[in-house]
Amino acid sequence: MNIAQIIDASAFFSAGICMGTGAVGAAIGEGYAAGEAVNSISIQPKASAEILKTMLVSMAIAESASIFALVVAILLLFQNFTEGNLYTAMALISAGISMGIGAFGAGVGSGFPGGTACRGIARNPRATTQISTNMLVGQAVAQTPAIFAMLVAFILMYKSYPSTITITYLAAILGAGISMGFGAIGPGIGGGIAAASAAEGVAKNPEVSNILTRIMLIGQAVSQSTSVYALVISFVLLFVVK
Amino acid sequence: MGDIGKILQLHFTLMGMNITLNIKTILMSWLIMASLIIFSLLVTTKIRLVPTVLQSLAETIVQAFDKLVADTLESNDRKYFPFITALFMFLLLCNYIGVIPGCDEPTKDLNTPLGLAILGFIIAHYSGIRYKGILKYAKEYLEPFFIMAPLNLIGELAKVISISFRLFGNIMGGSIIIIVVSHLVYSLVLPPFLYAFFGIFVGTVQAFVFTMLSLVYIALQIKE
Repeated sequence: MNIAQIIDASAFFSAGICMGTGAVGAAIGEGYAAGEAVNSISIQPKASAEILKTMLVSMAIAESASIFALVVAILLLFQNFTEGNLYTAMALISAGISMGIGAFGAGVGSGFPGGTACRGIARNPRATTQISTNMLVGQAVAQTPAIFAMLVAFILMYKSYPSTITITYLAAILGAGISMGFGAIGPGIGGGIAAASAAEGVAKNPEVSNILTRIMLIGQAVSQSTSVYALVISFVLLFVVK
Repeated sequence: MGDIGKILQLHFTLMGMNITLNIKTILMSWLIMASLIIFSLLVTTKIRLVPTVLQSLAETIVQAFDKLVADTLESNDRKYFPFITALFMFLLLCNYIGVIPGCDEPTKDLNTPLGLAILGFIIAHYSGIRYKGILKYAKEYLEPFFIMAPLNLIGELAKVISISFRLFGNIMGGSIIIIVVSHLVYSLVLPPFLYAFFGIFVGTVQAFVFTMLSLVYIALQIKE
């Protein structure tokens, strides 16, 4: 068994982890949005066109966490990482863990605002524009942890590694992926909860939508600081530890 | 299938320096900029009371964004309105152009979104310093405690990363999925629908998200 085979094996294994775990979160989130949309149409059948449109847009955004996982999985499958050593093999596995598990929180989280936005439109159809703008911003920001996970996955895949193998740096590479992957779960869900409540609030009182969006962004930024810690630790593990 | 994620590059040496140009990205962005300029010239040279099709299209865009910018910034100062509208129209065409055979989205190349994100970052922070004064602006980094300053700084820089990678990841992801699925089904039936979904639908949503986030970051800086 030569090194090229080991790298191929780890790429395939990693692609499986990446897409398998990366598909879970977005599916839950989108299901929640769809369920709430159906519920809202039963409350306010006249607004069904708007609700359907909002549901589809919110799903398209919630899906992007899984699309990131799919991109990393496809790159792992079809790009030939021929040059490399044991570090490359470990880095590919780590990239899959980072992106796969990192997509979970953002997928679940960005489903919540979609659901509450649909309910809000049913409750207050005249505020549709404000509600959907707020929902878009909230969902997009809730996805930040998944984007950090994708960044770490790309760095792991395309970084050049030293030629002498040490067990400590092998562990550090794996640790970078684990740190970012698991670190992205909570902030994704938390940011989604904040955005969901903001969408609900805009529906209740559209006049203050600017203040609500601003407070929501500040709250999301603070709740996402834990994913920034995870990102910092990943970078320390990759670039500082020897 | 081996060329997934590859971008056409031009390498040459000029006065001893190795220069790499992403030639297709540059050509496509110039094409889009040229078409936007031609569109604006066509629309604004002959303004009629009863609008033509092009004029009413332009009026719709301008009105919608005028209202959006005024509502978000809570002022009738139209200083940021041209930047935001131009950003949206440029990104929209960037994401649509992949539908035309032989053309590539400039947003598929990380350099385009990253450049635009840095532009938005500089504008937002410059406005923050202008509106609040340098002392009040600097003081915000020391909140809630002064120990948090490095993390606040990283948080601000992370905004640039997240806004640019969000657009890049979605457009790049869409194009990779189109390549792989087209290859698997021998380019039968499915690709047009995929282009409609990833090019038109996701492209519109992501262009709006990028524009809206740039606007909101400006609003966050000039408020309070």
